[in-house]
Amino acid sequence: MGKKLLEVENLKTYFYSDRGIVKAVDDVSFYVNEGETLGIVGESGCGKSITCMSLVRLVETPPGKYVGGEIIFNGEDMLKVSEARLRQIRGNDISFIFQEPMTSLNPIFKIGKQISEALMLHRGMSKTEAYKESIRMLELVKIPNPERVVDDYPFALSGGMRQRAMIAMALACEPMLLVADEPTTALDVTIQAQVLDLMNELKKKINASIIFITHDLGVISEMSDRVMVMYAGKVVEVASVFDIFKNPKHPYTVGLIGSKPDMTTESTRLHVIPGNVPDLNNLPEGCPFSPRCHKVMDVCRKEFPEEKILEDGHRISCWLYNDGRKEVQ
Amino acid sequence: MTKSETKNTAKVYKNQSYWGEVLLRLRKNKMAMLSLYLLIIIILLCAVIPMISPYSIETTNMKNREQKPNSEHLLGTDKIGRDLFVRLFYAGRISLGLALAVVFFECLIGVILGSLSGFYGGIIDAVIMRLAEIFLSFPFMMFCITVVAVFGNSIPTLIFVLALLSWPSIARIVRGQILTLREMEYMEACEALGISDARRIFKHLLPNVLAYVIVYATLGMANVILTETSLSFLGLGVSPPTPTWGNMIQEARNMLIIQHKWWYWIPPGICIFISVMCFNILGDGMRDAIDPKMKR
Amino acid sequence: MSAQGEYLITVKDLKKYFPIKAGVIKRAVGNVKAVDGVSFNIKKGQVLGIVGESGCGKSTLGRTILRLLKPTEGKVSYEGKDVFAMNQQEMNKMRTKMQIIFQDPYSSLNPRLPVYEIVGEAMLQHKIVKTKREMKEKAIEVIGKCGLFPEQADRYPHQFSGGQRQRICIARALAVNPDFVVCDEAVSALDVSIQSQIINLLKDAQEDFGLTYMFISHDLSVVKFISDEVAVMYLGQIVEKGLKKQIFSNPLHPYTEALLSAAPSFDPTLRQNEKRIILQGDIPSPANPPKGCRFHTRCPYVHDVCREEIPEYREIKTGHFAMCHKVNGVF
Repeated sequence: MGKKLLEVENLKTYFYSDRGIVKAVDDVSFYVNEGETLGIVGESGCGKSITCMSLVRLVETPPGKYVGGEIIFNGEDMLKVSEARLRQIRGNDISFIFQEPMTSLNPIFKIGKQISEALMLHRGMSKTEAYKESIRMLELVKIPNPERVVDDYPFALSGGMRQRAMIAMALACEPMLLVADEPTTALDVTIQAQVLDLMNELKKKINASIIFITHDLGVISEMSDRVMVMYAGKVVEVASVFDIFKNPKHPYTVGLIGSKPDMTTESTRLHVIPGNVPDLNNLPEGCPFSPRCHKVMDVCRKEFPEEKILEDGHRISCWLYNDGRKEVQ
Repeated sequence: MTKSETKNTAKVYKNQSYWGEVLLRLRKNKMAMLSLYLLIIIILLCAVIPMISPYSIETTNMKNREQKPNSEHLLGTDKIGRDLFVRLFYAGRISLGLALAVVFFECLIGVILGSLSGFYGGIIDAVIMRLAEIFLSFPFMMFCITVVAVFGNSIPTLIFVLALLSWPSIARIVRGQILTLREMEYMEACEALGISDARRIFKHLLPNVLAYVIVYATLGMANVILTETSLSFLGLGVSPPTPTWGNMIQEARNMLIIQHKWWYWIPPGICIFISVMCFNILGDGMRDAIDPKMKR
Repeated sequence: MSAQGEYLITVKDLKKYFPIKAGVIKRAVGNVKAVDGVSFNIKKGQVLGIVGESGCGKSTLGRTILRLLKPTEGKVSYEGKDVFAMNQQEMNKMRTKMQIIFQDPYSSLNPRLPVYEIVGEAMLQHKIVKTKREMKEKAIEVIGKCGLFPEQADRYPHQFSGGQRQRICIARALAVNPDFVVCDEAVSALDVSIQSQIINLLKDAQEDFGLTYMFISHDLSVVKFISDEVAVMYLGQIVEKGLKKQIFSNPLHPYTEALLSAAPSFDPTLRQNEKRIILQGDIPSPANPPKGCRFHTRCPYVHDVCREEIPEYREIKTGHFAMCHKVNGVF
C-alpha cells in the first residue's frame, strides 16, 4: 500500500456528434494504490464507464476522442503508448469484467478456450498447459465441476456462473489492475452476494488493485477501500469508504446516500434530489450539479470549483468547501 | 403531492412529434433530399409537358420522321414522325402512374392481411401466411406471361398481376412489425386500460407500422418501374401506341437503332435509371431516418 | 381508513403455467410453473410488497391478477366479485379499477402519441370525459399531480427522461381512478436519485387517493419503505408473508433470512462483523422445480424430509405465515 499503481491526471474524453460535443469525462483526476480497491459510484451519464475504458483506450474513436490528460500506469502513459504495447497490457496487466456476461463472453467458443486464449497469448503457455490452468482458474472462482465447465459454452451456464467465468478469465494472467464495470448489477441479490463474497476472497489471494464501478451504494460500501463519486463527467468527491458514508460532504453524495431507503431506519418520506439526471448535451455553466443542489450559490453557476484536499485526505470539489477562493496547489 | 421536486431543468425543446424527428433526420441526408427533389422535378415535367407541348403523342407526320433532336422536336421524332419529347413525358405519366397504382394496391392488401395475421395469430395467421408463401413461390415471369396471355395486357390487368405478386412481401413486413410491437409494454398497458381492439390496431399499431410500409412502398416504386420495363421487353407490357418508358426502350432491339438513332432509347433509359435510383436512395434514406437505433 | 377485515383483493390458489412446446408438431412437453398456487388477501388502502428474485413469478403474478394473462387455475376476487368469471363488458369496467405500472419507462409509452393523449385516451374510451378537449384538460390535471407541467402535455415521450416517463405512466394509470394498482418493478429501471422521487410520488398518490398497491420489486429496501405487508416469493410460491415489521425484524423462512442478509448494507463498519448467509448454488429453473420443498437445494438447514415433502403453509404467528419444515417444527 502506498505506491501508486495508476495515476490519472486531468483526463478528458469527449464525444463529437452533429448534436454537439458530449464531455463524457471532463478533467478527471484520481489514483489507485497497489493492492487497494477504488469504488467509482455515480448514476447514468456520470462518465464512470468511459473513464475506465479510457484507461486502455477502449473508447471508440470516432466519435470519441482523448482530448487531454495523462494516464500513468506502472510508469507508462497509456494515452501515448503504441498499439502493440497496449495489446500487451490489455488482458494481461489490466483486465476487465463487464456487466453483461452473455455479451462479453463469445457465445461460439467454449469457456476453456476463452480463458486459454489469454494464457497462451500473454503467458506463452502451450495449449495443454493453458487448458490445465483454465481448470485451475475455474476452481479458484468456485465453479462446481470445473473439468466439465471448461468444455461448456456460455449459454449452458447461469448468469452467476458466467460472471464467475468472466472473473476467471480476467484473473488468468494475474493482472495488476482489475476493472470491474457493474459486474453484479445484472445478477439477483443472492447471486450477487455469492459473487461479491468470491471477489472479496480473491482480493486477499491475488493482491491486485481493483477499480469497482457501480451505481449501487451498498455494493460500494461492501467492496471498496476508497470511494470516488462522479457526476456528469466530473469527480465531485473522493474519500475512504468510512468517511464517505459517515461524513459525506458533497451535496450530491449526501443526497445519494439519503435517497436510498435504509434497511435499518424507519422513515416516512425519502430524501429527494430534485430535478433530472443531467443531459450531457446540455450541461449548465459552472458546476453541473447546481440546478439540483439545495445549497447552491451564485458562484456555483459560473465556475466549477477546484478540488480541495481536506485534512483527512478527503477530496471535494464544491464551493461550500472552497471559500470561493482559488487555491494554487 | 409536491411539484417542487420536479423543477424542469431541461431546455424547452421545440415540439417535435415523431414524424417531425423523422423528417429532420431525413433532411440531413443530402443524397436522399437530392433524390427527392429530382423525383419531384421529373413528376412535374411529366405532368406539365404533355399539357403545354404543341404536339400530341399520337400525331404522326411522315415528313418529319426519324429526325434527330432539333429546335422543333427537342428529342427528335420516331419512325412515324411522332414527337419524342412529349411522348417521353407522357410515358412518364404512365410508368409512374402504373407504379403508384401497383404500390397502392399491394400496400392495401399487404397491410390489411399482414395486420390481421399479426394481430390475431392462430388460424388466421396460418392461412394468410400460407397464401403469401404460395404467391411468393410463383415464378414471376411465368405467371405474368400466363396471365397476360389469358387476359390481355391492358393496364388494369398489369396492375392486378403486379400487385398480386407483390403483396406478400409487404404483408410479411407488416406482420413482423406487428408481432414485435404487440409485445411492447405500451400495448400491454393499452390492454390494461381497457382500450378497444380497434383503437389498439388503428391508433397504436398501424401508425408505427406505417413508417416501414412507406419505406417499402418507395422501394417498391423502383421495382415496378424495372419490372414494367422487363415485361415490355418481352412484349408483355403496355402495348403501343400508349408510350411507357419500358416500351420506348425496347426500340433498342435493333443494332441499327442502337447505333444511329440514340434518341429513341437513351432518353427513356435515362429516365428509368434516374427514377429507379432516386426511389432507391430515397427509400434507403427514409429507412435510416425511421430506424429507432439512431435515437438516444 | 378501511373497515376491519374488508379485503379489496382476494387471491386463492392462483396458478399460471406456460407450456413448453417441443417437437415438430409442438406438443406440450412440460410447463414453466411461473405461479404455482399463490393465495393472499390485500385490505383496502394497504400496500402488499412482493419480493423475490428472477424466476419467482412475481411479474407473472401481477399480470395474471389483472387478467392480462389467462390463469391456469385459481380465483381472484375484487370486492368479492370473481375477476376471471366476468364477461367482456364487466371486465371492461373492471379495467378502470385495476391498473398496472410497468418497469421499463421506455417501452411502456407509445412514441407516436403526445403525452396528453397517452394519459387521456383511456378516459375517453371509458367515457370519463366526453370530448377531446375535456380529455386534454383532465390529462393536464393528472400529469400536474404527478409532477409535470401543463406545457409538457403536448410533448412526445422521447423528449422526457426516464423518471419523467415513469411519471407519465403513473399519470396514465391514475387517470382512470383505479382502486388497485400493481407496481411491477416500477422504479427498478431508474437512477437512484430519481427512484426516491418516484417512490415518494407513489406513496403520496396512495395516501391522497386511498389506493391499494401490490408493489413488486427485487429491491428489499424499497419494499420495506413502501409496504405494509410483505410476501416473499420463490419459484412460483409464497414462502413467507407477514407484516413488514415481522418480515424484516424476525424473518422465519431460511430464504427470507438469506435475502435480507444478502442485501448490501450502507454501513462499511458492518462488513467485517456481520456474518453473511451465502447461499450455495443457482436458482433452479421454474420449468423444473426441485421436489419437496423447492428451496431445499440451497437451504443451509436442509433435512431429509425437505427433499421429499412439500412443507405446509402455516400461520406461525398472527398474520405471519411461512412454508418451511423447520419453522413448522417438523425437525
